[in-house]
Amino acid sequence: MQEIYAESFTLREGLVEVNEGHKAGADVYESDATVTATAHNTGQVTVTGDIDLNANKTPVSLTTFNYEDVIDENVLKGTRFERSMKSGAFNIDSDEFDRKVLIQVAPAIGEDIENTIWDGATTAQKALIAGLTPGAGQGSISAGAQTLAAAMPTRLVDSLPAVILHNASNAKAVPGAGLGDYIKVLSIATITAANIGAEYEKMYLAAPSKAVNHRAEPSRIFAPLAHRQFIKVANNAVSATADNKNFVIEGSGENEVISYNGHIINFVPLVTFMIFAIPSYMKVLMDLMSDVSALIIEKESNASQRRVLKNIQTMATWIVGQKYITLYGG
Amino acid sequence: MEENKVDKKVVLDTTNPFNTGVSYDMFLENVNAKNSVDNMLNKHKLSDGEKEYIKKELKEYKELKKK
Repeated sequence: MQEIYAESFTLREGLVEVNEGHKAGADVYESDATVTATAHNTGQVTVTGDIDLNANKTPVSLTTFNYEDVIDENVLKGTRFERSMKSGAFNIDSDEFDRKVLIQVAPAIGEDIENTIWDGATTAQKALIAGLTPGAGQGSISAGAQTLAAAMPTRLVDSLPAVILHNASNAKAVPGAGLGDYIKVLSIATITAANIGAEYEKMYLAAPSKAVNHRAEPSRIFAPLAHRQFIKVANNAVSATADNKNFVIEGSGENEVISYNGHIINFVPLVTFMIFAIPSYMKVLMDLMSDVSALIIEKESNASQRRVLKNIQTMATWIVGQKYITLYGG
Repeated sequence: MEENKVDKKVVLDTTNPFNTGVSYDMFLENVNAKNSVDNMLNKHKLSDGEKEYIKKELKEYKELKKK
């Protein structure tokens, strides 16, 4: 029996924007224009200051990391895998071991990358989030968010929620390192099947109208994996009528799509946090996306019988348009 | 005669934790023998859900401060 690995939908299906081609760093630009109408002018155009153009640049560093180890298949002698080893004392590679066990390394890496994107923070980021002053209102991080960030797995790359909470974007209202400009959902509760509709409603109502009504690229909801189960139980509740169902479930199996008030829900390995955002406002910066599945398996040098496994990645997460990102649990 | 200039100061009500700019430190500074957390939350007619949320937040805040 092989382990089940959560599939890395985020990169495979482009749930957020993936930008490739970055070796060590990237300059992220955010721009905007503000305009003021004035009375008709039939003369020459002069400097009015009525059209204001802004472009902010923020340098983002990527982190290179690897998954690597050496395996010694000598330990497989005496097991069922010995049967598929070729004759000869030097030959200890088992074809069956490769097909049934080694093959799980790549999906395990994919699952770890998926978890890295949605849950986790570097030691430095955890300290920055812990150093923020908590409060209940907009413009303050909640104590709950600080607790969640502290409990995140410590990783080599910051997850999207960690970056939403604290970042050094120069496009924020107050540029530079500090609390993110996200929209906070006030007064949240622990989500269960009984209250999931009400909690989603809080997030929906807190979201900026521009993000809710953005037709060119509709906002999506990014929710913890367990919400799929809560939603189905809530929808199937005895008292739920067709009119009262909060969530629309279409299709089944691989083609199942669940939405809330017209916004598709993507179930990802978030822990407690939920995000309502235009998908391309959340970014994964990489050198090459296919690095996720590129696993080097080769014999160690100098006549070693052991094999080397190595996968190498370069990655960072980032966000833009922060004032249009709603973070439930923030 | 000089005009009397009156500087208008915006006073932040720190007894409502949901007010923008109010940290939990500021809110808890109002707590004393006569003024409890419950008193302040009731004064602002917060819903049961909001009161429950604030109490949970304050508990987590105190735990974080210990670390």
